[in-house]
Amino acid sequence: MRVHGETALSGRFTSVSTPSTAPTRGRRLRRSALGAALVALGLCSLQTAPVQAEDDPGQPVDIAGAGIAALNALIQGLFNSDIVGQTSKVLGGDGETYWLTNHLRTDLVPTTVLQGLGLGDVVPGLGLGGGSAGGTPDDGKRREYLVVWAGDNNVLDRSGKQLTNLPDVVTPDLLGKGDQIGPDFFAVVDATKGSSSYGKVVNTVTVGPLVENEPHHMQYIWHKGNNIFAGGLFTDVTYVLDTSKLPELKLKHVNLPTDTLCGSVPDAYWVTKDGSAYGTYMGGPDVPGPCTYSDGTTRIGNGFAGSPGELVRLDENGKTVYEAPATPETAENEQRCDNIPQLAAATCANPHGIQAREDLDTLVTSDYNEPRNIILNPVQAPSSYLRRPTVRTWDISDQDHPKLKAVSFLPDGPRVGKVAHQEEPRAAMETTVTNLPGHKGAFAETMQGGAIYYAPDITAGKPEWREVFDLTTANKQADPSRNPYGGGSNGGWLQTSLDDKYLYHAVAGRQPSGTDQGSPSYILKLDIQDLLAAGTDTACDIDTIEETVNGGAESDCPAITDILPAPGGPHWGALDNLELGDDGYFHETKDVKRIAYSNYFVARTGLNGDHRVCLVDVGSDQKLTTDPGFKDESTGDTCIDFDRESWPHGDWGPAKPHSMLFVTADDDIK
Amino acid sequence: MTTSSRATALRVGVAVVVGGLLVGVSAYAAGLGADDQHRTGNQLVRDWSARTDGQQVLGGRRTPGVPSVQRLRHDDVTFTVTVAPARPGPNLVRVDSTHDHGVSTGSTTEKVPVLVGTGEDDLVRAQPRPGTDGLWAVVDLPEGSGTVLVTHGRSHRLPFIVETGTDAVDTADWVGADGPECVAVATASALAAGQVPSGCPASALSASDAGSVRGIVRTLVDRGIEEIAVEHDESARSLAAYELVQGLAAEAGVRIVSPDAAPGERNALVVLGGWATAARDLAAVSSTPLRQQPIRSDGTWLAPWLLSPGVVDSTAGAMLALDFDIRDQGAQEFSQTLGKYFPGQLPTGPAYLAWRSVRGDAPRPLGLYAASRAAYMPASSGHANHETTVAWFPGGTVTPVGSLDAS
Repeated sequence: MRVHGETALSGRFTSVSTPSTAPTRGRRLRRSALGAALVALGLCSLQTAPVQAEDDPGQPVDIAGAGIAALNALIQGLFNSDIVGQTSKVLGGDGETYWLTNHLRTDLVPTTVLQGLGLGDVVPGLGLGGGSAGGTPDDGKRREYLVVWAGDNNVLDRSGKQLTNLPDVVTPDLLGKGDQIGPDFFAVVDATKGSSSYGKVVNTVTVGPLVENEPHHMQYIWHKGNNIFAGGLFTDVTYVLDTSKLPELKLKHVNLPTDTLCGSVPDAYWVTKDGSAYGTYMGGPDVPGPCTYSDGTTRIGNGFAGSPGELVRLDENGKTVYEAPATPETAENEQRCDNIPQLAAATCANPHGIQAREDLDTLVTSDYNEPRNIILNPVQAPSSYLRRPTVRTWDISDQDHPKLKAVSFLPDGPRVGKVAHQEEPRAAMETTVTNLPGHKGAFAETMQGGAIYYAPDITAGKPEWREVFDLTTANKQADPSRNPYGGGSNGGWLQTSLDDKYLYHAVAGRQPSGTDQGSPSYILKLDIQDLLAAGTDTACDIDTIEETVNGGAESDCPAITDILPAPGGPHWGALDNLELGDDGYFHETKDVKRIAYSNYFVARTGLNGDHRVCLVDVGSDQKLTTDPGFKDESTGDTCIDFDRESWPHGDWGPAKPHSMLFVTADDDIK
Repeated sequence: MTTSSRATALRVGVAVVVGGLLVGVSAYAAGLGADDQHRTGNQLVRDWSARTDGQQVLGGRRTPGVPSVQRLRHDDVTFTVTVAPARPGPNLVRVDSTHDHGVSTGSTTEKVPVLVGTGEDDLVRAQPRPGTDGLWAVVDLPEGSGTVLVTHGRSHRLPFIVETGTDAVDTADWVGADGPECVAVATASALAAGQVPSGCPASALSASDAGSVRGIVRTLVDRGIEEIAVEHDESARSLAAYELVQGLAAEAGVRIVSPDAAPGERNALVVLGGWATAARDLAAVSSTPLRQQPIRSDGTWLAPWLLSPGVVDSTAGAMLALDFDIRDQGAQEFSQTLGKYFPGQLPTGPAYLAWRSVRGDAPRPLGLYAASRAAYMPASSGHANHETTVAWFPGGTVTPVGSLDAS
């Protein structure tokens, strides 16, 4: 077994040379202490159970015991006395070791919390650091955190505008640390209103050894006891994290490409009440050709990041339980489904969004596109028909054996797209279910089509989807000065409020191009109460061009409650379902008073975003207001900026925040 | 001083300067061999400029037999010029420029071509080659040293001196279709502070590449393939690989078919040509209308030397058998080093392996890797400055998807 990186001291890149600005004298003292500590650590390591190849893959094999944890903290603290943390490791199914390393800021985390993690007693006793070592005074507030899955932004200026001089002498050390690829990480941000560290990154948890995962989504909402499931698009890995001891995170499992042979490119997750999860794998089988699923049936796919994708059932620790085909055994021909390379049986099955109603034994996925074939130049895009117009419903009455139940092709709307993939049904990125027992419907939105669809009954054998809102309406209200054309508006996150009254939608906007002035970016909030109240007798249907501009004419059509301008290109969001009770503990609530959103999509596509994460308050009038108190700790600007030089894990520079969750420690929620 | 005195002084001054220049050039000429003294004055000045105009030289020295990598900034453009093998005779020149020159001609903007040669009489246009990046041209260099000229606009000539020595070698492999791969490998070796290989990779099938090809065929056979369409070219490496595939297929009862034949039910394409032929042949298919493209149930599998973005981009997704992962620390160091010093050059498998060989890093066990673009959204304007990439494979990924036994 090969171990990437070195010990539990650090991630792969920082070794013991974590950047430090400590004065020379301090550095000398620390070197002496380091030597002693390394000896001690070595002794402790001998006593720690070594990772064995025959250990059960996927089970944690080296979560540092108290002694190791203390020494980890010491070592990390030697070069920056404000940073402590532990590393957790698991053995992957490929025999490699994967890890997660915490970098907690002791100047921001209360002493009592550090003590709870087994770290609080160590640092003060060493007398090494500055006055802030040893944690902050406990203000008595339990903490709620925003956990953000972020990718290192390895910006390579390939334009060559700032070319480095050719070295006169070629040595093995041509690269400086600043040139190395940084680790991807989870940023743990204090999201507790009124806390002294509100908006500050109290911990960054780096993953290793894999870099350039292209961090993507986690589950949509967190509930007490849930692990976090987080996917890497490019590495085809799902990381499963234990949140019970936040602000610290622990690695429970890594699900590798070889654990999901019939699918690739994990997109999003839905965690069920038992803590297990479903994941959408957007891309085709790892290897082109036939793949046999858990149900014994076989489909032929055109390979990694191609088609057809699949639905994967993962246990609570992230081990694969079941791989279910997302495409039926016959070709999907109702609308054009292109695959490149071609498949004998065409399919639109590239599941992206996923949500479920366990009480209805139904899960919904929305198909976005065949991942690898969206080329970077829209003018030369190989086919508009790679953007999918389909939504799938699944029977999850036997949760560990999901079955595809229906494939629905979203109907075209009255608007004529400037290009074929801006027709209303194209690129069904996200779906969201209703939540209350009396409601059986779900929504879907199309990133390129610029439309929102609704099916009043997802339990039906053939759910009936209809367009209920066109983003042209919202564009017009958001910016009356521009042509409101809704196609290509790049809508992303779609989420019903937990009380089923509202629908939230993040719209990144369309970039200006030529004579096209583009479209605005905003967070949209729609009132869906009348629509849901209609039950299966829904009348709303956007079927005239006037309705695309003015909103649906039918009385039950969604109405705009608010549009929050969101410069920077919002793509993803999350509801804050945690509320601090009078008892001082957090409780889950359906009365959501806050949401978060992030401005980042996938950089190489050109739809990047400004890498900020913002919090938005929901007023009693249901209006949205950006929280001015959620500020960047360096710039003081509203929203926190991931384009910063320094992180707790080092000076790795800008990062790309893709998704986020509101989470709290187990002990802090009832 | 009177006006006439000033004029006289000016004339004398100019004469002194010109005389000095002539003396300097003559001294330079006197220092050259007898043949060189037949050069024109312009050539001498160019040679002089090629050594003194601020050209950066990788490694600080121009050494015969070591690819000459030089960089010169002119106006607001930086040219990086690689000349290999830096021996007498035909040499392959790679040009990377930081700027796409636009010249408006009415309603269209044309790029100003880059011409390469050794004098005004032999300038040829540097062209892109399939399967790789950069612009390429062939120049004929004399023994001892020669000056490669790279044009910048109509009148500017940027000179780069190349020491070629006196050892005549056969440079045909360097300037042929597989030359860019050869240059990439040689440059990577030099960049790793190692010795530059004397030969080119396409001249023979290495044991490790043979293992990879063997692994691919065994995997396909195990998966139930019925026929393998094989693309190859006439290089020694490709022919040897083709022979290997034929033998393995025959043992397994699998048909070998032409890539032009209509695929059967269980068919895969195995590509064994070099960068140029592979990219060209793959692009010829992928550029046809989708409905006219052959349906290959088991996809496209590339020889390991074809891990080059220029080749992978020519098809939609490919499988390879590799003994490294692009996310290995060594592979990252390589790609970051290229990114730092040669941002116009994307990492490739053969170049990395040359680097790895110099650095002494151990190979991984052979594994299956999926290479594909994975952009997920069409580009829109205005975000280029924020662009980030997978360093090794911009806009895509090379992901391990399984192990295999190549024995």
